[in-house]
Amino acid sequence: MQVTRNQYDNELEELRNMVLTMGSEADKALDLAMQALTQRNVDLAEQVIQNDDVLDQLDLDIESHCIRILALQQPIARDLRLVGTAMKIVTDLERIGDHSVDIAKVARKLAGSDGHGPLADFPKMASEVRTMLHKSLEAFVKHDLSLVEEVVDADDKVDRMYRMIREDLHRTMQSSSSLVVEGSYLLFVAHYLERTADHSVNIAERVYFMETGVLTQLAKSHKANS
Amino acid sequence: MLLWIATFLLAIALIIALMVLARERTTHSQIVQRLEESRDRRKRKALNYNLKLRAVSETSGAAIVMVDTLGTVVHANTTAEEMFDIAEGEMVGRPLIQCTLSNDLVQFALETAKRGKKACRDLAMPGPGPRILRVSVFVFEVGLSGKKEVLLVIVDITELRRLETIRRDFVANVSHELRTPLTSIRAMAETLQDGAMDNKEVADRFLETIIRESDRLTRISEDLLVLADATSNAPDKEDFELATLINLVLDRLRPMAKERQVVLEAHLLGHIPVRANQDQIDQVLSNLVDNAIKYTSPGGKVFVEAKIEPDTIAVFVRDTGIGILEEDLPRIFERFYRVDKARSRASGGTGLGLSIVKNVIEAHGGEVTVASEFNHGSTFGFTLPKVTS
Repeated sequence: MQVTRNQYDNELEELRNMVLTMGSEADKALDLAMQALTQRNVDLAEQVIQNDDVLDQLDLDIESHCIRILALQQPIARDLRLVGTAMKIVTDLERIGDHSVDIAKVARKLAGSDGHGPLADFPKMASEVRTMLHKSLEAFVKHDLSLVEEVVDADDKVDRMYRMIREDLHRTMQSSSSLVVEGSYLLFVAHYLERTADHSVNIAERVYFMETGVLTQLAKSHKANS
Repeated sequence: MLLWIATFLLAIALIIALMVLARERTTHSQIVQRLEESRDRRKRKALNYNLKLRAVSETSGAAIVMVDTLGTVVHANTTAEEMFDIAEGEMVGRPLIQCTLSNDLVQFALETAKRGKKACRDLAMPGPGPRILRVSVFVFEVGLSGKKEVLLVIVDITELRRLETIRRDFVANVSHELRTPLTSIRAMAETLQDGAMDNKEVADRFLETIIRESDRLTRISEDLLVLADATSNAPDKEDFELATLINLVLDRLRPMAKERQVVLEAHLLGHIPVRANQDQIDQVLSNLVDNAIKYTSPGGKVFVEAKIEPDTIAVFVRDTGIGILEEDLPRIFERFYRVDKARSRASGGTGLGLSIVKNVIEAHGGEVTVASEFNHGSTFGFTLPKVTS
């Protein structure tokens, strides 16, 4: 019985590690994609696009691992919430990986052109989004609800930055028709970053559920009546 | 008779046997005692060794983490706990990925363990801002079982990287800033030599440029010397009246302000004693007020204020000028960093003024601040320690 129990605990521990591994890879993809964009570096962009397979594989592995635990160990209470949370989190992480690939593709397209004013705000927004992702994963491993709160609060800030960047880009495109193509691509990048922030909030909300058993939408932007 | 002899010999044999037994017993207890002493010595030695290892680990300045070949932490020093923001004693027994949230770090440690050779790599860490860790990995066997453990020595080199970038930029900038006027001087001189000397109007214009560029080189070399002095030597301090010095600087710059139609005002408390290097503070004030006048449009205002705060003396130079973009603010104190390159050079700036301000004030134990709103103006401030009687 003890052996079975230890094996069960090990499988849950392994699940936590796999989620964090995927989180780390998703963060790296986003970091490299933004570097590719700001440095106009095609090699980095290609690296992000190729590495997406790693995230996709981790997504499948984690889902399989969860199903195996559900089928063979029948977890209950907190353990069941952990498995459910992991299954939801990996979907968000996989989407973050996809958005990083999207940004890398924009970086590849813009590699030949010179940067202009509004791009200066992207690194700041990306840094804020990466902080949110990092904190949501930290909350997952440290069982820290104060970090969940910080992630939810930061979402408003990212939304404001998104609106500002969007307005800046609109102004830039109106001022010069030669910047319309680049500006429209950058609008997509701002959108991908904003979506990545939303996925980080999703992760934080799942951590909240894992710790409290309460399923709720914490961010204002996630509430239907906002 | 024979019985007596036999009894005598038996008695002697008995005595000898007893003596041998007693001696053996003594030898045996001595051996036991020696063994116990040896064991205690080994224990003490092991304890001392552990204490020494712990002392080395705790005082090395680097984060030291030991993991098994599955990636579970078996030892972590305080620096490691601080580096990864983990509570005291919480790292041991946990998987490395849960402590660091970095798959790159875990993979590097485990791959090095498989190869069995030491390795070193700089790794970017997840999370906010660029954070670079230099990770050295050593693999070793524990005891006689052949079981391997992995030692990670981790140093945060983010600041080092930042300084390297600044140094590289500085060298490139110095070279560029010196080469530009030199190229100009050489081109003008060659043109004069090739016959332009005969045309007085052209010659005068070229000579004017040569003098202007030479002056520029002189200003750059003077500013570089001031900067080198501020960063390498402690300031040679004296007691003086700050309000008097500010008024002197303002009087010196008033003609320039008048020429540019900028109003120059000051609000100073009557008596502000400071203890600092007067020449250096003069240069700091001149640089700040000079910049404020240059970047303020005609009709604008430059306002200097000095006041005594509870712990420090604070000076502010406010202007209603063109302001600075938010993304430029973190870099304006870097050497040769120019927000508007063409405008800065045209106005005679060397690109070192604000760097001098920052280095001089920090050498005096003060702080420099800047707040700016684009198109609305900037406020530069600095503090100096209050003179204690």
